Amino acid sequence: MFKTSLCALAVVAASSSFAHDLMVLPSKSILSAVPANVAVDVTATHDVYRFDKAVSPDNVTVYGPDGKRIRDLGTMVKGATRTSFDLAVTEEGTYKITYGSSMAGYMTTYEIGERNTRKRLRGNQKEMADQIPADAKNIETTKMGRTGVTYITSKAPTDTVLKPSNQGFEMVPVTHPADYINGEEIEIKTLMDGKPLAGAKVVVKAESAIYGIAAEPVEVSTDKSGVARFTLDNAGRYNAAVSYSGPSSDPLADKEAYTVFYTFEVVYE
Amino acid sequence: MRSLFKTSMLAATLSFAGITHAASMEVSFDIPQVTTGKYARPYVAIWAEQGKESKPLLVWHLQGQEDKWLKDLRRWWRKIGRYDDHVDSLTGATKGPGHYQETLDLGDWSEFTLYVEAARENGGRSLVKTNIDLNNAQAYSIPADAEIGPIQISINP
Repeated sequence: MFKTSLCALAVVAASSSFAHDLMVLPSKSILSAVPANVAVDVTATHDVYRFDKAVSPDNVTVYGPDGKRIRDLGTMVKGATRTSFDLAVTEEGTYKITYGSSMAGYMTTYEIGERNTRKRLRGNQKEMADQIPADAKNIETTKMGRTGVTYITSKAPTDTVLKPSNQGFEMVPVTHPADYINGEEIEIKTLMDGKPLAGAKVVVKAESAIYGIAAEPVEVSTDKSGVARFTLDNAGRYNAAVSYSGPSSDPLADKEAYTVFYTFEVVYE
Repeated sequence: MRSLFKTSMLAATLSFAGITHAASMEVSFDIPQVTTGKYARPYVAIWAEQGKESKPLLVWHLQGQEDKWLKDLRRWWRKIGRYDDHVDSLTGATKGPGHYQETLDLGDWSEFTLYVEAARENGGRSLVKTNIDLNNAQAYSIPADAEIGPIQISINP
């Protein structure tokens, strides 16, 4: 009983964040010198650079300029609206901070009753078989991955953490994140298992949109070489939701849907 | 071998002497008086760009441990500062309002864009530039901006 309700709780918690954007928000993304501390907040939220829901501290990962995972991130606090820590930046170069599991999960949805109420379960149809009522309609399993990522650079930018793992869906910066300038083209790339992925959607929202300035997000798609390009007129902080959905190559799922929420800063020329 | 080395050294010295004679410039500018509650002297950088190459010429910044604001000279930081190349340029402490004149060595550069960037803590930032071609004109000027006064540039004969 206890186990079931815990499991149900987890599903509810997870599904509530499905509706939100995941954001890894560093207090600074460019540093003049090391050592330095950077406050990092991770949150599931609707607004860009605003906090709404805290996330699991276990899924926060930081890679140093050498590409190695940093084992001790110090004290991590899970508050009501965000999960926070101070990242000790000790090396020169580019760090990568991610939130989310590298393993994609399954979600099964179905409709039930006269009103076709939509229900969600965390797991594939096979795993969830005993939880899906016999009269359920439109049962569909989606293999999904949702991650948040950001980069911070101390002194000269390095490329090690930009290299793809060539596993699953990935967003790779082509223009270095320390070189995002207003009015200059920014290029990113999407990969599926290391191969260029066309047709991924990129929706770039500005933090300043919460003040009503240039509220329309910039929307582009990746071309056949997997590349998407966009130019932002104003400096500031942004979140790019880079997503792809399509038929699943995994027999346990009908569809695949992935989103990488990429937060970054654009500096004035 | 030794004589070859000597000869090439001599040649290098000669050509170096030739270049320095040919290419240096006087840059004079004002750091404007700003009336504000909390004034900090600006960081100032001067450099030249030729395509993707940058040549550091001058940077005035806080000395010692306190210079974590170097990145606020934003373009200079991206082109020069973060690569530690500025150690080759004329560096100095920040300076208050006044008129300044500096002689800057251009090496063998003759056609380039000269950039001047000034950034003040709790204040503004200015980035100004002009194209320079030593074969074309010997004097240039850049109008004043918020954080840097009018700039006069003259190429030394």
